[in-house]
Amino acid sequence: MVILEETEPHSDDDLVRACREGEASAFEELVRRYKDRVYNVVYRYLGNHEDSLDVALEVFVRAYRNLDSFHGHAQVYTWLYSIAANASRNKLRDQSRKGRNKGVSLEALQESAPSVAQAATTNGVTPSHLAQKRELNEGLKACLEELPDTYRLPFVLRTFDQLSYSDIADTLDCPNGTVKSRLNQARKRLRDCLTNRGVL
Amino acid sequence: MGISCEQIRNEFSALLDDELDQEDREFVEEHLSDCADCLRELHGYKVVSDTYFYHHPVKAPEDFEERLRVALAPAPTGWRSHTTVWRFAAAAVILMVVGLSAWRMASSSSAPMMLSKLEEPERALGADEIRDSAQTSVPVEERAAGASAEMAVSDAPESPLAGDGLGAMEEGIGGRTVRDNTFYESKTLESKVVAESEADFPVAQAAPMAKTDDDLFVAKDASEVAEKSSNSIEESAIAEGEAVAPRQEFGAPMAPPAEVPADATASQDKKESTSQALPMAAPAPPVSPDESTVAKVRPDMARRERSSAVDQEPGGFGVARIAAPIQWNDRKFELRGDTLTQSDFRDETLVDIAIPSDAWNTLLDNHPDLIQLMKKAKKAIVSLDERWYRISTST
Repeated sequence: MVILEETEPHSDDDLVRACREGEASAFEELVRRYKDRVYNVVYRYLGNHEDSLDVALEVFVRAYRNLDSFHGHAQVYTWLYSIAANASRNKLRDQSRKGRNKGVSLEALQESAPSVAQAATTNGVTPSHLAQKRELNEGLKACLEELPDTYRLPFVLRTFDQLSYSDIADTLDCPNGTVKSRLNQARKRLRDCLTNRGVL
Repeated sequence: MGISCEQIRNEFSALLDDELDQEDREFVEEHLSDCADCLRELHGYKVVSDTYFYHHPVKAPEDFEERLRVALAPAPTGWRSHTTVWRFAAAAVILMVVGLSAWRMASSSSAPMMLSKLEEPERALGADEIRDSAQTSVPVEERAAGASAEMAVSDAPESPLAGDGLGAMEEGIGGRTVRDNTFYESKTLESKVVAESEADFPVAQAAPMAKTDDDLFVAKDASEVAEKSSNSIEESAIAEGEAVAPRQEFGAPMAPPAEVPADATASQDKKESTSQALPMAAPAPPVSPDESTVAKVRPDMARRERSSAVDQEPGGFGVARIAAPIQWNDRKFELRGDTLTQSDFRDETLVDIAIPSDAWNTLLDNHPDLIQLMKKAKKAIVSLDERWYRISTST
């Protein structure tokens, strides 16, 4: 059994190895290390906390139960993100089957665009400036929701988690060139969308 | 815009993300220094990236790990879920078996009897005669049994008296509480199914029974049946406060209410000992669909139950039901003779209203819910608008 020493930090590979050996604390460490990143990406992709929590939990449950399928060729986080990508897509598919609107959630809007009054009191910025910013935020959020999944996922991974093109390619299991073109297309569409909304 | 502009713009994201190698980067930057359109385009891309980048990262909930721990508890969770599934499955199977047995008992008890009756040598009836007989008997049965069940189901929730009737029944069944309306309805429906399933059975061919109200189901003469049922049905309807068949005209014999306790215990009768089941089933008034089934199908069984019913009646369910007050619009009524009388009536001057009449129609316009009251009896004395009315249904 691999015994993790408390003093030194462990690489992801060590943690995975320890997990496979049955060391529960190793998996707990992996969770602590990546839960926020996974949650953030899933949230940016799905747009609401309720579904994001479900999916993020599912990601780690699947990871725990499929540790043997992780061969170490990729990074642990790209592996986790690939699970997250599949789980998120499934979630959206289920929602569309159930007829749930996958549009912008109110909570996401409120989070990304705090109320004018609230922001004005905290930052001392003029209300008109905040209103403009809020409009931009709302427009961005709405445009992101309208973006097809093909473009949205690489954009989310890049923008909200700063993944490299190579990592995104690993996560999505596609070539680097595909990532580059999809990201380019994503930004172009978002810009067009914002222009059409009069935000840009 | 030349072809090179399009090629350059395909690299914008990579340029912004610092994913271009040195050579490509220099090439793009050189182009941008000479192309205002591409520079403007790039600005749009940058605004998009910068704006999204500005968003704060969202953190997982604080109890995320705890939730995950619960979700990951493999053995207990799995075991529990499997057990739960199996428990539900077992419960479902048991329910199905019990339901099927009850249904089969009800239906199978009729089938052999039907056959035996058809095969009885002394019976000279052919199939056609039986069919004819069944058809003539259907209206009676329908009015007395099937219709009552149907009406009870459809009217019970609407009737303001239904609840009281149920309450009265609760009191009258010796401590057994039948509060569950679902149970009530399902049992009523069940009785309806039983009654309907036997609609083709020649009721009039069944052996005559002892002189009880159940006789209406074994009587040979439909009119006689209707005559007999008129009073008893009406009384039982009044006593129980149950909804009765609204399809009937005023003055016509009231259809009886479906008997919850009788229905409820009907299936139990077959499983439990007679002494246990009968106190509830026995006092059931004549028109219980279930009773009718028994009477038609198994005269011997019906006779047994009926004799027990007679034994039980004085201290049982029937007495309690008759004694129960009836309410209508927050007023209490009691049966005085054949008239449903408002309890606080004391020899006041009465205005007689006949049904049907213009006066009745006028009264009904002002008090539409009177129809509910008059479903309970052919005659009623009621105070309306500070006047006392005696409303009588013409026969």
